[in-house]
Amino acid sequence: MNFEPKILSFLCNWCAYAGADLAGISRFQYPPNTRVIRVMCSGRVDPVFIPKAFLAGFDGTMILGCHPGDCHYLTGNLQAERKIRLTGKLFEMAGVGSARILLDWVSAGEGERFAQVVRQFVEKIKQLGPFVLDPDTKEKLDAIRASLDGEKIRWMVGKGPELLEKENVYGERLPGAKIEEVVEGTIRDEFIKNRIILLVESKPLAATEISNRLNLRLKDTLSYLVSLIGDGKLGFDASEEGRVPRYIRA
Amino acid sequence: MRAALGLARQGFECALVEKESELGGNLREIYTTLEGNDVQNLLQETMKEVYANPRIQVFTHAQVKQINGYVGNFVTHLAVNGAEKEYEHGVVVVAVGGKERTPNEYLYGQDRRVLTQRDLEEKIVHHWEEIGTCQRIVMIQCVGSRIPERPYCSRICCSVAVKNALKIKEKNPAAEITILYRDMRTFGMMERFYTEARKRGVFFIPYDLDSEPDLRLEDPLLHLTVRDKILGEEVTLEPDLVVLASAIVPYDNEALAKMLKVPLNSNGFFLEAHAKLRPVDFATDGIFLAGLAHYPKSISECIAQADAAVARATAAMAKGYVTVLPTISEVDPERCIGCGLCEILCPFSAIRVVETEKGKKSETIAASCKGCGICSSSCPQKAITIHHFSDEQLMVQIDALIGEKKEAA
Repeated sequence: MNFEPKILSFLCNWCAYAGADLAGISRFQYPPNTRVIRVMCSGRVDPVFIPKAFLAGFDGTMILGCHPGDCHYLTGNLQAERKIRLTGKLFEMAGVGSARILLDWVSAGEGERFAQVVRQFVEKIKQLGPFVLDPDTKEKLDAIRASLDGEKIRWMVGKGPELLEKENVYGERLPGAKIEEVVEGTIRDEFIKNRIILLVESKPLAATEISNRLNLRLKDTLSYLVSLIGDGKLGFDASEEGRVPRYIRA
Repeated sequence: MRAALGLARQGFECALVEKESELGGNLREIYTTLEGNDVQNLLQETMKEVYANPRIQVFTHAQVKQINGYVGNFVTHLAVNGAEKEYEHGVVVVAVGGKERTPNEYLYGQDRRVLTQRDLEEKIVHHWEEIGTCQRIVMIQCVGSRIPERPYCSRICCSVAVKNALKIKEKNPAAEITILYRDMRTFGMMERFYTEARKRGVFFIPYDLDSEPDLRLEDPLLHLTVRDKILGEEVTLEPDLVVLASAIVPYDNEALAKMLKVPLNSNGFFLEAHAKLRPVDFATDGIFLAGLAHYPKSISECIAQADAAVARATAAMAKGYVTVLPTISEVDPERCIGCGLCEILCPFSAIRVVETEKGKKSETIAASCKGCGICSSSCPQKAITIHHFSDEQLMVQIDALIGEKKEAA
C-alpha cells in the first residue's frame, strides 16, 4: 500500500519557518508530506488546533519552535512546550495516543535539521499507518477538543508556571510533582466529563450505560454525573417513564 | 548622572531619582583607579554639571513608590523626603547600582586587622597612619565570588587589589604584600599593572576552591595557611593586615523589578533583553539599564553603558511616536472575566487588567504588544484575538490544507 501521510506543521516565524525556508534554499531534500501553517510564535499554537487537525483528516501534527532560551518572544516556546506536552498526555488518556504529535525545536540556521526532522516524522507516521477516524475516535477527539476549549484546563495549564515558580495565595510553595499531579487529574476529569456530555447528546443514557460505554466503575461515573449536574451541563430526561433515570444534555 | 547629562544634552528633560541625600553612590568612596584617574574630581565635576543643567531635576532622599504606564506614557509616584510627587515621562533608565558585600569569612568584623579593599582604600587616603606600619599584608581574592552560591566573577576586584598593592608599595616600599588569587584578571590594558606589581615585588600565590586559605587568630598573631597550587605545598603567613576582595552584590531589586515588571536574573541583578544584541534594553519597551545594577563593572564601563542607555532611550523617544504592529492582540470585553492570566504570562507586560464600567477587564497596550500570541492561546475564556492570526484564520487554514478529505471509515 502506498500510504502518503498528510502532516500538518505549525512553524514559528522566527526560527522554524526560517529554518524551513533555509532548507528550501539549500535544496535539502525532504518528503513533501507536510502542510505548513506559519504562526509568529510556537506559543500561539492553541492546544485546540491539534484535535482539530486530526478531525480534519491529518495523520500527524508537528509543532516546531525556537530552541529553549532562544524564543524571539522570550518565553513563548516554553509555554508551548507545557501546553503541548499536557495535550499529548490528554491524547494518551483518551486512548488516541500521542505518537502522532511532535513538538521539536529548529533554529533559523538549521535547514538540514528541519529536513531531517520532517523525514523522520514522515517515516514514523508511515510506520503507524493512516490515522483512522472511526466514530469512536471521532467521539474521543471531539471530547478532547471540548476539554481543551474549556476554561478549567486552560486556567490550570496557564497558571502552572506561576505556581511552580512562586507561592500560591496562601503563601505556600507546592512541590512541582504535586502540582502536575493535580493538573493531570483535572485533565482526565474534564475529558471524561466532556465525553459524557457528547454521549448523552445523541440519546438519553442511564448511568450504567454510560459506565459501560466509557469503561468506568459505576461509582466513578456517578461522581462525574453529579459534578456535571452541579455545573448545569447535564439534566434528567423528563419524558421517560420507569425507575431508571436517564441523563440528557442540559 | 552620566545618563541624565546625556539625555539633557540631547534636549530631553529628565528626573534623577537618588535614594541617598547626596548624588554619587559608590563613586563617593573611590579615590583613584588603577590607571591613575582622579575619581573624586570626576565626581565633583559631574555633580556640578548635573546641578547646573536646567533640564535635569534632581530628587534626593527619594523613593520610587509606583510606576504605571508604558513607553511614551509613564507616570511615576515618588516619595521625596516623605512628600509625594508625581512625574510623567516617556522612558525609564535603571541605574540603581550595587554594593560591596560585607564578608562573613576570614574573621571580618571580628579582628580589626581584616579589611575589605574598600576599607583599605579609605584608610590609604584618610588614615595612612593606621596601615603605614603594616609590614606583612595579605590580600585574598574571590571572597564570596565564584562560589556555588554566587557563581559570577565580580570583575574589578583583581584590578583594585593590584591598585591598592601598588599604592602601598609606593608609600612603603618595604612592605611585603602577598596576593592570594584563583585567577588573576587585570584584563585588557591593565595587564601591564599586574606586571608592574610583580616587578615591584608583590607576591602572587594561586589557590584552589577546594583548598581555600585558612585564617586563624592565634593571639596576638594572625595565622594564615594556604596551599600554593604551583608549589604543591602549604604556605604559612603571619600577616599584620588581611584585605579581602569582597564580592559586588546587587541591592534588593525585587520591589523595583516588580514595579517595572522587568526580570531579575538568578543572582539578583537586572536581566537585559539579550546579552549580545540588546545589552542595555529590557524586554519591555521604554526601560533601559546601566551600571552595577546590571553586573559588576568598572567606572569607565559604567560610563560607557550609561551612554549606550542614553542612545537607546533617545532613539525610543526621538520620533515622538511609537509605531504599533498590526499583528497585536485584542481583548473582547464581553468574554473577558478579568482573571489576569494574560497579564501574568505576557513576556512584555503588554496586556493588563484595568477597571471598567463592567468590572475588571483585560486591555492590550498596543505600543508594547509584540504579537506573539501567548495570551490568546492561554486565555481560559478565549476572549483574546491576535489580529491576522486569529483562531478562525488558523482553523480555516487547517481545513484548506487537508485538500481532498479522507473517506469516513
